[in-house]
Amino acid sequence: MFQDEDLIAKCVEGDQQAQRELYDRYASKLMPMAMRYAKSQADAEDILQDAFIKIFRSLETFRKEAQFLTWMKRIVINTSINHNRKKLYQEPMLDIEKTPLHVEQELIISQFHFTELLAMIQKLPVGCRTVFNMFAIEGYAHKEIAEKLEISEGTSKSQYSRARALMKAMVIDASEIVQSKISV
Amino acid sequence: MGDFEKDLQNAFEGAEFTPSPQVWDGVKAGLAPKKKAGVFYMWQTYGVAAAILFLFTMGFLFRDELFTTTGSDSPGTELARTSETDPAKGSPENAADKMAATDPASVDSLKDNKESTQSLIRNKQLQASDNKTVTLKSLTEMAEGNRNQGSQSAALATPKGKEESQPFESQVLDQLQAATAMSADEAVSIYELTPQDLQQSIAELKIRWELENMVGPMEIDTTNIVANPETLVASRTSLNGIFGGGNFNPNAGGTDDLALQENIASDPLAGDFSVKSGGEESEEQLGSLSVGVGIGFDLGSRWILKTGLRYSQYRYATTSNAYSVEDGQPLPVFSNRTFALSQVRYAGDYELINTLHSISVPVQMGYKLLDGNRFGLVLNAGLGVDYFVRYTVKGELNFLETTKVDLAESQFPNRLNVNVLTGIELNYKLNEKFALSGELFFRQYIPSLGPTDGIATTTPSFFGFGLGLNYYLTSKK
Repeated sequence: MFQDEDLIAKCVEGDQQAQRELYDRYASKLMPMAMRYAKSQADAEDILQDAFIKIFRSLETFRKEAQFLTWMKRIVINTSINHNRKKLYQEPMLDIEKTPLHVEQELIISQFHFTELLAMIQKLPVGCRTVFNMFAIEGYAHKEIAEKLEISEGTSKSQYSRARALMKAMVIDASEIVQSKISV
Repeated sequence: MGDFEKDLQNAFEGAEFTPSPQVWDGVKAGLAPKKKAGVFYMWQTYGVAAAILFLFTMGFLFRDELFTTTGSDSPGTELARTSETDPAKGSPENAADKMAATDPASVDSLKDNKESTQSLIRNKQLQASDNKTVTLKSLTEMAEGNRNQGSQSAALATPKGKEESQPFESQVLDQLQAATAMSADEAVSIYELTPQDLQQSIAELKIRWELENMVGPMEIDTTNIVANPETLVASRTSLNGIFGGGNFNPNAGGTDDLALQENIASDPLAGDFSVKSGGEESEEQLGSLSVGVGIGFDLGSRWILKTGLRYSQYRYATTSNAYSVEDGQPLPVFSNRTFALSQVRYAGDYELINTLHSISVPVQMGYKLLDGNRFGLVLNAGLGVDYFVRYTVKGELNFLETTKVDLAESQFPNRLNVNVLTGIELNYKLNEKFALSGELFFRQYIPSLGPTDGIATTTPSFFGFGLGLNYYLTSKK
């Protein structure tokens, strides 16, 4: 089994077997990330496909001091954002900062499998979903998100609040279903 | 960041989900090298078009029996020449008498025959003394007259075993036709022969005459043959309208804007992307359109000087993966313009449609390879000046606005470009005034006049075709 460095070197040379091996090694790890930004599995597979094409084409520029998986994740995130960009323009995010927010209760999600959480995230509107992923999971600050998505910082914050509220509603619904099943 | 976010991150930490096998198929297809739409691709396309054009041409040629030779007379054939011969010599009756008295078996009879023919021609010259012109048509008419008088005249001389029933002057006409080896259709084109052509033909005829009849020189004075004021065209001017298309190959090269790349490299979200904007490897020729008018001047029998005015719309596609937001408008990023680095954003690979609007003035010399009755084939070469009036770039992403490039700031193209032109043109004459034309041409822009500022050296080219209608303005001397 080749180390990543050897595999990368072979991929840069255009070795198709190496490309396949690298794909097999990382595709399943990157797929959940693509699924978080996409509305469906088919969308996520489109994103993953584009991302891998970019990965293979950009391998020459990969700086070895960076972690390979982290580097690939950045590409997947970037591809996901660009994939959604058209929709983001079509459905512009509104600044709903002034919308009164309900007092938050603690959201407990540890009981859910990531696939259940994925299903919830995919139900979010595209703007909310993108901001939610970038802030809550990728860890970007609202200022960075605003720059990347060409929205105001306030819009980013309000979209996140909205996403969180929607997630909360879905988590509560899902929890009630789980509870009802347990009690039965 | 609260517990909720941390829980979320933990939930997705180490998560795996196997994508369907189609994803790898798509990746493999995406990595396959693209077929370059270069000059060879264009030749494949236009090779087929050229073959079809060739087949049509051959079809027309056979339909018009251009490849068949006929021995039929051309009653309309009319050779004009001035005569300085004394019109007082001989008469038609005398000539007929002389011919009738000729003994075909003797060498003397050959000389007599020669004399008869010369006398015949002189007689016609006498008849035409009013305008000092003798025509081959009149010679033909006389031969016909002699045929009609066959019952009254004795058998005419038939040198070298010619059929006795054929009048001698008719044989002369046959030889005239055989010597010039013209078909019936081609014979009509004698209208357009220059005096020099006629002189040459007659000189050839003289040699044949002497060889075949083994007698003294045939005495026909050709030194003063001039263009017939009624029939011969001294020079022609033609007007034409052209509609065509083709493929514009910008060969613009890519951009390697280092500052832009560094900016992108420092972008944590961008990964290690590089800006793909244009680049020769990503260029794809799209259909281009061209319309124009022109004028051609005949310079002698073979050469034509042509010029005109053409409007062309060149189109080609490039690829980009970025766009820029300026004044709230998302615009495609492409290699031929400077963008504010802070405003550049990434997108997935998308196509850019580049459209160049140009007005050009070509000046060409044409050489007539073939100038038949119906068909003409002209080889053209010359220079052209292109003035680009408008350049737009449209990204295929719906949200992107179409960019109108300021050509004064653009690295490609210059507003004014000089190009070398070459091509081949096929004409089909519908009648004396109109002709259809089809042309294939190649236009190579002169690189030294393109941008040489170190960014890219462009050597665009255009391979095109045109279909046109010619209108001949005949000028007579």
